[in-house]
Amino acid sequence: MIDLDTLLARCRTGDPLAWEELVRRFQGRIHGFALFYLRDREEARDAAQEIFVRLYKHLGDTRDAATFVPWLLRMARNCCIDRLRSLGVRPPQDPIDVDPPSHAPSPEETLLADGRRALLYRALDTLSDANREIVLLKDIHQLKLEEIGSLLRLPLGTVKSRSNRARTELAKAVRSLAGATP
Amino acid sequence: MTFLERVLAATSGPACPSAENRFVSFVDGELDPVDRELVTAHVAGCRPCREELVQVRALLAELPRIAEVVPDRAFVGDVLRRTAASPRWAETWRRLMLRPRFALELAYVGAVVLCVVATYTDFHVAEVRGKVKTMISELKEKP
Repeated sequence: MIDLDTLLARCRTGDPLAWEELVRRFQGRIHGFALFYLRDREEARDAAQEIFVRLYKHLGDTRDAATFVPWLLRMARNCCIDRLRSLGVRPPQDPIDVDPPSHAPSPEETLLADGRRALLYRALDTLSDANREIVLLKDIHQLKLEEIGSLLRLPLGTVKSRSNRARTELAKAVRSLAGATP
Repeated sequence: MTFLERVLAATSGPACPSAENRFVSFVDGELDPVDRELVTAHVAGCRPCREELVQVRALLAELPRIAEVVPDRAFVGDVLRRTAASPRWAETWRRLMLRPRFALELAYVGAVVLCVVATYTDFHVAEVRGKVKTMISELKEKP
């Protein structure tokens, strides 16, 4: 696999193949990110496209691979928030509806994984918006605490304590929902 | 109720909330050795906390796996079509023009060009001023 620094450098020179590869590499992540905020498949798909168009226009601003993902997720978050504002609605509270992952190894494992994934989404829906966003950024997209602090304009200590609280709440919700599931 | 539970109920109350607060740090390996040992001892004797710790540990591995939700096959093609329709140079030029310092930079470049022209040609400001005055007076004299 081509390393991200090389890929970004190629993209900056205007290589269409490199750009296509970059879109392929990040499409799942960006689409998942948008779906998390917008809770609607069509809206998330449109938002993800918009995010890539913005990325394309700002390719010149991209730096090294280490800072690329936080930078991209910041752009994606802004885009999703703009979209929510333009819709004039808060995200619906329905559980996120996702297809099974395309690379599932076997039907049995797929079934188990899908069940667990659905359970995680249901548990995430029980969290407050702020805690859910922290889990999204820290535990799902693996951003560093400093990066989250900069993105959400929160002190490092607040991010850390909120992150711990959110994950504890999520674990409780998963246990409770798993116990309630027949 | 065990002896320990009775004592705790009569004194500090159950230690579970205190243990729960440390589960994430425990799983992330951020607890100091003393806290680590205290949590380990608590979960050994507390089934609900043990189950919760299992969940916290499981989440650490499971949450990154739900980051990706691959869109339909047409997605990449749609993005490529849209980006082909919006050339990057247009956006770069637009952003360059919108910079607050652009007017200042333009004035600076203009002044430099004027200086260069004045230095290497027979262009003299005093002469120009005289010519302009003459032109204005001629215009005023005309009916």
